[in-house]
Amino acid sequence: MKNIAFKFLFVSFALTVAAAGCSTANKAFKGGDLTLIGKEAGVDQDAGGVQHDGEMVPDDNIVAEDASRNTSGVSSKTNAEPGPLTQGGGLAKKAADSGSLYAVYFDYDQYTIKDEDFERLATNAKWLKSNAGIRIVVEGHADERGETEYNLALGDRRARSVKRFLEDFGVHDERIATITFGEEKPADLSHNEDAWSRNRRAEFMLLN
Amino acid sequence: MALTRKNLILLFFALIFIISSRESEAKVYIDLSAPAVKKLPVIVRGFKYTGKTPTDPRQGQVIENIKSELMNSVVSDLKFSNLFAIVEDSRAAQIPDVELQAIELLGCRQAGADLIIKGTYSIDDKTLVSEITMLDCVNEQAVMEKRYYGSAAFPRRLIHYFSDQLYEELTGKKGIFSTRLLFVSDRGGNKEIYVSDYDGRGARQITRNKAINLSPQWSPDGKKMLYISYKSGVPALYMFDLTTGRDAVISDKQGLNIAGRFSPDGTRVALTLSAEKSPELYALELASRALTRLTDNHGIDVSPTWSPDGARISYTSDAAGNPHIYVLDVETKEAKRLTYNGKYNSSPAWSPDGGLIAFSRSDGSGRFNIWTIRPDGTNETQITFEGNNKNPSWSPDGRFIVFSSTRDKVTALYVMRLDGTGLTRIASVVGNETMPAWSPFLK
Repeated sequence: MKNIAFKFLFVSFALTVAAAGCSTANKAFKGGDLTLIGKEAGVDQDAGGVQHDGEMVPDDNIVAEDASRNTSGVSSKTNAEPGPLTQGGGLAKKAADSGSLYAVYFDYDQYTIKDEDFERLATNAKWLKSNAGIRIVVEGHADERGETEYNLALGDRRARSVKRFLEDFGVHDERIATITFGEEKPADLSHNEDAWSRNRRAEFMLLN
Repeated sequence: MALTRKNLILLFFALIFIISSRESEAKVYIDLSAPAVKKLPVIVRGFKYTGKTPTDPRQGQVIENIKSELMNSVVSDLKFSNLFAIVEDSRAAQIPDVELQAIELLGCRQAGADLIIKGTYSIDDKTLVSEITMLDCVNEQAVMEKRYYGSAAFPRRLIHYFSDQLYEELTGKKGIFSTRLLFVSDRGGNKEIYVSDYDGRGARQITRNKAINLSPQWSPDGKKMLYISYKSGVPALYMFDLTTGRDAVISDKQGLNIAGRFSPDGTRVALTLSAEKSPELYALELASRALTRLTDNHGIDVSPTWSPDGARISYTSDAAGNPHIYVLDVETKEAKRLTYNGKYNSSPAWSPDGGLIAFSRSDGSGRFNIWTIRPDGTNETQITFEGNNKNPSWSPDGRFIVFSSTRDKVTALYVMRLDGTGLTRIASVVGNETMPAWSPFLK
């Protein structure tokens, strides 16, 4: 209790002195701070739970995504095409696995179709024309030696190069969707030239 | 309630203390603009528990854990600030914590320190109450003495809050200890977005959709996050409200909807779209949904970063063949190339004061280093020299850069000062951590 008595006196003195002259605001090490200090300490001992005398540390109020809730779209309609084909979603299957359409490969940071892939793409186009009911997705991929967003754009350009090529060979535009995965889905997880050359690719997925 | 002799003496000191403190009103202990900042020697004493004696041993354990959390975070914040030299002299440990501060202060000086930081704490239900004091041993005054109420579940947040105030007291500048990081981690098997304290601790998962999630970005008020997600099956740009959990599609056009960045006033989003043309930069006005195309070339334009005044955007473009850094004027759309060196320049980040752009550069090997350049294209400076370093992001006070770096196989987040010193790998659990985004100052 002696302590409290002292602190109250301390407060009164501090207040008096502060009121007498010091009216500067909010800079380090001033009389103003001391009055606050004294006041806080004074209330401390007996008033338990008078929270306004200290400072409230803001709560951590960041919440997590509720994956079960639908995203509320703000755009008028979903333009995205196609739908459920990523992450192993059942509708699409890799065309190369069924022996129909084969992947093509690109040079580092390039999206032009290499001469050696012309024939392969022409064969793909022929197959598509003789299987008119089939729609495909061209997946564009990049190797890991770049920046994530740039690689997404690069994958987009690669997929579109292939789509344009197939269209030039007479495959109808609406049968070909494109998607980029950038560097996110490497075919080969190693970190060497061989792996990178296998990862800079466009692959074909069959829909329906 | 009579005054004892002891209290009279203290009263006398208190009076001197108040008078002398008025003379040192404008005292700034640490001048950050000085070329070599002298570190303040400080003794950090433990936190003394002043609550009720626990009856349950588990409660006792909780109290002990909080004690060490408080102590550890004070020490790590002080170390991170690079403004203090922590005195771990054995004499420092001997200094009695007595009511007569003069003795304590004398002991402090004898141990070679200028400051003592000490605290008490108690727990009231779920509230952690901590009173933290900083004593100036040389001028014999309390520099700070404040009581804080925080969540007992997050003792570190209370200390970060204190550290911000301490930092501001000493330097006159805002501290970054309560700021957060958003980043991408594959620790759970797929790339999800996490948030952590500025030092990587207390990481928590935000996205939970099990798809690929990339490029988290803070809104200027720190309440929302832009990110790319494949959760609908195709990549689209989303805005997640970090406090309500509301999630909204910002752009889901055919092709690219990537690289979204809030304008400094929060009214617009710069992003890359490819539905109409090659990947170009656009500005999307959030209220009207009006889209303005900002670039027009046959190449890739991606990774925009706004100047603090919102008048210019720096970005990566391969319009000249290889990826280079450019700056465009948002009004006139006139673009200027900034970089001519290196084979691959990417992920520019404009500094908070507008004076520098940080970016990553590779000589073509696929290994990147962090560089800075002035927005007029002068003064290119390399600041990392080891590992593979990408995606720089500035602390809101402009004193630090966080980036991802691949060293020892895994990719982790590192923080450094602008001259590359103070390199610290920040806390991580497992897996690879990429694409860090440092928050603005948070309220």
